[in-house]
Amino acid sequence: MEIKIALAGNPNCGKTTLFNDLTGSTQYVGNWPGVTVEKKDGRLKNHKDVVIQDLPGIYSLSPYTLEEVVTRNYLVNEKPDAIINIIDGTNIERNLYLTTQILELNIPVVIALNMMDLVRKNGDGIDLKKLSIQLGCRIVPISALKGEGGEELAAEAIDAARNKRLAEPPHVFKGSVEHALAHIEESVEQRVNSDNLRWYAVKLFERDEKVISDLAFDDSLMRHIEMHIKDCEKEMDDDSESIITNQRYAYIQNVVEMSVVRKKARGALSVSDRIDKVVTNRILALPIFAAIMFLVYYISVTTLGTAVTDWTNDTLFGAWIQPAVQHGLEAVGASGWLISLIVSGIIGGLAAPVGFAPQMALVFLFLSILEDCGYMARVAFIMDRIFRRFGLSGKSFIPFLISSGCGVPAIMASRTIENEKDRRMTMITTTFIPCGAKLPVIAVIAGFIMGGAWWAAPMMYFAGIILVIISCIILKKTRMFAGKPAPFVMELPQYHIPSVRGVLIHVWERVWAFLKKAGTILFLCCVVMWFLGSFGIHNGTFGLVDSENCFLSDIGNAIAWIFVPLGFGTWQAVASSLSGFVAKEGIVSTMGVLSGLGDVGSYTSSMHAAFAAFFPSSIAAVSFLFFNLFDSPCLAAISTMAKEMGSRKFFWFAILFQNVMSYCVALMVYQIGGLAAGAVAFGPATIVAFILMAGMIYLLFRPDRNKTVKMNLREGEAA
Amino acid sequence: MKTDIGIHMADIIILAVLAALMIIAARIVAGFFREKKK
Repeated sequence: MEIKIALAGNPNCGKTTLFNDLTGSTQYVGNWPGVTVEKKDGRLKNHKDVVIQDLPGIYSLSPYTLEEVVTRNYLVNEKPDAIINIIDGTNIERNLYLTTQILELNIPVVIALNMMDLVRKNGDGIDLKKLSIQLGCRIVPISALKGEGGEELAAEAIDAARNKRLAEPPHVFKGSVEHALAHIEESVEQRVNSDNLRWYAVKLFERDEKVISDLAFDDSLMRHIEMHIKDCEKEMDDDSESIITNQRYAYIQNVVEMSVVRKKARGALSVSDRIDKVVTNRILALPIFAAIMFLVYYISVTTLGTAVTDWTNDTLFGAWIQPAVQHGLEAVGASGWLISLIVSGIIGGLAAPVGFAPQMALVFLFLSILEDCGYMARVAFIMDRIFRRFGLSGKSFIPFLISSGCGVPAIMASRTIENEKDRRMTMITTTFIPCGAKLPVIAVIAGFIMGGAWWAAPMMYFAGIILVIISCIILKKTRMFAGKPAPFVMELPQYHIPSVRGVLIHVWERVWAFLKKAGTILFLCCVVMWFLGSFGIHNGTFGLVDSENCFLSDIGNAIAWIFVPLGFGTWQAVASSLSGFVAKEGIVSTMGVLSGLGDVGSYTSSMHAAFAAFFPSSIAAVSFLFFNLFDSPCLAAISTMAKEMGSRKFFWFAILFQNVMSYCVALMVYQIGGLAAGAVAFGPATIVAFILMAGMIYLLFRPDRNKTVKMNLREGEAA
Repeated sequence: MKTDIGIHMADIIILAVLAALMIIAARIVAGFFREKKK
């Protein structure tokens, strides 16, 4: 029979690392809370009948956010055969709070005491025997990161599940609280699942709204329960929720005092604290973050990245693959049009974005190191200070951070935000941060038009952050998104040297996802674009035509007028932008298809010349870049947004907002920037750009009516 | 008009291989979106 073992624990305590260790999977592991937002299943290594389930991290069984609801519902309603409760050994007090709740669920529990290597390194000691007796269940010391103790833990969990070895419920509550809980248990025992009797009693005592509405007891029973709660509250002189919390912590303190020996006096500064004094310093924090990001992009885009990308473009594709395939096809007697499809259409189209994979891999490598060592969690903390001023919580920065890799998991990560308005606002703005797929677009524009300016990539990253802030200020002042940002409480992980395996897995997963996309959706996109770019109807006859008469030029020219004020009204640029709505890599691959038509030799220089021909001026290329970075994301991200938004109205608002915003930004960049640089003549579009800029400044600085109304209300109440 | 579309024996084989690859790619893409909907 199949055994289901769930991994439950606080956020960022190492659940996914343990899940990967036990199942051999390579699920995404991040060094900040909220990385896992959905339940994930995997089979235990060498035990095909044992399913390990990775649950989103929770601090307690009183959920506030969507992903916390996933965990609670699963543990309470679906009941796994056993729970492995992972505890961060370096922060045992806080982690045991959830443990005391899990032990009330009447499910076999085994505790995995993680990060024992760090506990030992800190010189602390935990008496496992005493702790095990106190908590009434088995405890296995592990180090998920180093892969230590996993096998023993799995064996214990299987044994607990097979023998239904329930934990001995610890005596957490005392005096009148225990008395009230016993009365509640007696009152509801016939009406709830007897396995969860204690848990329901505690939740009813806490007046948990979700549980009360699910149970839907009649009024007389609820009045009876309420009487017991009120009696207890009167005696303890506190509200019921606080009483439960206080008694849990009092119990935990007692357990910790008996079984944990600390070497360092509390309050002494650790190495992490000392580093944080500098990197989270009020004045230095932002310049340090900016300098680090510039350095990451400088190394990735110029030095090593450029060398490998040039080799991939010029030698691998330009000198080896394309000529070899062309000669091969000619040798077997393939027709000219088919050779054009394969060599220029498919290989030429795929070569353009794939050539940038090395640069992308380097950016991912550095970002992974920064994530894994714990620095990026500090950046979320730094950003909270800034975001809060603009009405957004630092919790939103985590989706923004993930968005630098891919928009799809970033949109999913917004589930960690409790406030629905903030969550929707984060989803709308998160794809403004350039994802990995947009890096080739930045590199192409920077490389071919702006003379290889390395600073273009970090500048676009910061432009994305600025646009997020501008959008949030504007949206927060509307009734749709008004409200105070949710409080942001995040535990900062200790700094540690990143694991080579973990970092390489991150990089490989992202690069592999990119290559898979190239082999599937981009491959199809290239074929379609080659067909539309090579065929057409000329003089009433369908067939291969010159590029000026192809279907793509007809489509591009038909809507090019929309983009003329943005400076890139050529049909090639418009067609490239259109393919970006399918996948952002499609922009560069379509440019590759359109520039490679009929010409295979000297790949880089031909691409350079062709790309330059798409844009009448450098400022037009920059405007093209801005439009394509900030318009609505690729199909995959759009479909995720539709699902996560939970409202058709908000979804369409998001699509409209993203495209209108990107259009306005590109218009201002081209018209006002071009005018300042002397590349654009003053005209009606320039006037519109100035009006838009004035409108945007007004929206940014206008008084927040929602705040004024609230203040008036307060004054009224006071009067 | 650049050229006429002539079809040789080799073209048919190459086109068949290409069509098969396109079907596989389309199925993978469709699978991804189905997974997202779940």
